[in-house]
Amino acid sequence: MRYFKYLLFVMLMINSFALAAELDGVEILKKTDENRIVGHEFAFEMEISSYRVEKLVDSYTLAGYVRIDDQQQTVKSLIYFLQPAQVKDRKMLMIGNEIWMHFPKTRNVIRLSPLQVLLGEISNGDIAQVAFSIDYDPVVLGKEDYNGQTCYRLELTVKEERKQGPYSKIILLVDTAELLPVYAEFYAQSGRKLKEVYYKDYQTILGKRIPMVSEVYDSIIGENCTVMQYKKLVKKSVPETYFRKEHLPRMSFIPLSN
Amino acid sequence: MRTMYRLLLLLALFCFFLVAPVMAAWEINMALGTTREVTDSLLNPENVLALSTEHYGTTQVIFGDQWLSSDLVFLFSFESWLAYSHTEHRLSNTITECYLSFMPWENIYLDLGKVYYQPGVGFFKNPSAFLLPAGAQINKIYYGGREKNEGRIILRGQYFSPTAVYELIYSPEFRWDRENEYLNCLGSQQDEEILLCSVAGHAAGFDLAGSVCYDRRLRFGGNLAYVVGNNLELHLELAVEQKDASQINKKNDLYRQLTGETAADLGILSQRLIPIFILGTHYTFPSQWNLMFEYYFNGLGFHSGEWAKIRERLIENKKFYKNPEKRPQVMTALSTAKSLIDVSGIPGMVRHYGLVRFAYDLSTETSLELIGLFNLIDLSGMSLIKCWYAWEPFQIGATFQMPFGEKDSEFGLLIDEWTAGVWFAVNF
Repeated sequence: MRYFKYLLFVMLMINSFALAAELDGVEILKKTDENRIVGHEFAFEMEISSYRVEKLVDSYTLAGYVRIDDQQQTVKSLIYFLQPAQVKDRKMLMIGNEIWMHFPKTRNVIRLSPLQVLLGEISNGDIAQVAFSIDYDPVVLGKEDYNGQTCYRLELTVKEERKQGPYSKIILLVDTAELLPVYAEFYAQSGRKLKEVYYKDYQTILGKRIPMVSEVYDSIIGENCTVMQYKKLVKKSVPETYFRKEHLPRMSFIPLSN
Repeated sequence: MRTMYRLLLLLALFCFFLVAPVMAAWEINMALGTTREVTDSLLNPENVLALSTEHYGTTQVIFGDQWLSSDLVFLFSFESWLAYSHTEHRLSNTITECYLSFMPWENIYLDLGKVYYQPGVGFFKNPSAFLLPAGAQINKIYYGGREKNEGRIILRGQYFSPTAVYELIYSPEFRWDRENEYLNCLGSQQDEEILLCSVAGHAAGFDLAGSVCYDRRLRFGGNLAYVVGNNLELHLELAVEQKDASQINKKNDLYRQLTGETAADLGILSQRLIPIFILGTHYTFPSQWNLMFEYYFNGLGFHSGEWAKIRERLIENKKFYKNPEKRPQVMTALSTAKSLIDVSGIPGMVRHYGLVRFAYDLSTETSLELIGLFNLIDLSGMSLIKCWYAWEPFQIGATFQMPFGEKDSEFGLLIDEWTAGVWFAVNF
């Protein structure tokens, strides 16, 4: 009986340590971001394919160059459109939620709104959605089972200073074992669910587990789907000057090889 | 006509077999169109269909390339344009851009040569684009247009500081004998030297730019853009110019000839500075529709009272003016928008204009664009409908242009006209 009391005491202690070790929402989200970002400066080649009722209707190929500034808490992305011919040589700069576009024929750099659609279900702002923790405050709603995986269910609310962002709320499911996102729901300011995203095809790239495919479904017309697929993902540094809207007319394609 | 067409065909074949393999980009545009009657509008701001003849066609071949070597860039772009109708044809070959760009020191760029320089934040013609010739009503409305983006010979220094971008541009006077066909390939002559300095930056969500230009008179320019929420973009493009006496005299002459009055009582004569600005907004609907409104204040335009007097006079003499030989000298020269701007330097006849643009991608290949241009004084205007279909590397489209409202106003002056055309483009 005495031993049983000791055992009970030890079990209670272990349980309390385990509870203390349980991560809070901020840590989960931070680790989730860290796990899927290959570095503070990287580049990618991405194919975006738009499907209507499982039929491929269009496809874009673009190159992206990303710089994450921890001090300023901003993500800067430079997008260069490679294919098809009708969009080739377009350039887009995104700093946080501010977006500029340069069309080769009109020449001047114009300002775009974040919700302006790029292709299918993808808005301009979605391409650079690399770090949730910069724009959103998380709360853990609990744990749930998702396709056999135990996941944290996080509710992300847009930070006060980032209210200009395209989504006011995100529901994010994060795998508890690896702390990687598997599913997300994006909500508008009005509270309307806009899109659902499935993060798939995890591969180890540069020592990180990266979802190579993101399937984005329209929440209203569920059959409409747009797939973002990384074709290449490399560490690459682009000069800071390139992330200036005034530099967009000068920019030409930078090969992704180092 | 046939010889010219053969020449252009030869040039296209030359491009295809010899130049294209070494040139990164080239395109061929062909357009065919018709007008119900001969276009005689004083203002054709979009100049969508390029010619003012009953049946017409244009063929345009553009090729160019950009050579990169670490911090050195050489860019070359050439355009050959053949305009033909049953009565006339014109062939023009122009070097639209040819410049060297390099970075002698970190964050400093130097450009030397013929550069197409297009500042601004909106879609309509930017009044503070001081380096563009007065006649260049740049068709910025179309993403995939066939406009000639002809540059100007400049020396430009650009410095990227951590907070702003500074530019200093010098553009010399450059003229030659117009009879020399080979030299005409250089494009438009530069009638005056221009010195321009500008600063651009971004603060508190605003894109801001300011410029000062001197070309025998001082001109100030400013651009501003801001995004409100997720859907609404606002922009302002502004120019304030010192009064140019020759420009004002031209306008006064125009007024006298149109109204028959000799009294020099135009409102603009008492102005010291000429403001021109565009205030616009672009709203993006979640369903991918794009709606844009722009208000254009033209400080060089006629006041409403002056315009009413001109229209009154034009209506009185409508039958008389219908015979081109009987039109006043200035008016004969002003039978197209381009000549209106060339002769008078006036981008439009009145002070207040409005632009509504609606663009919608019906699918990823098919796009539709509706544009309405309004003279806000008498609410007459021009409507434009454009749709196109793209399948790589080809594009095919149709354009329809029709004036509405007061037939005696600038958009439909003298006759009621409409214009329709189809075009075909190949981009490599």
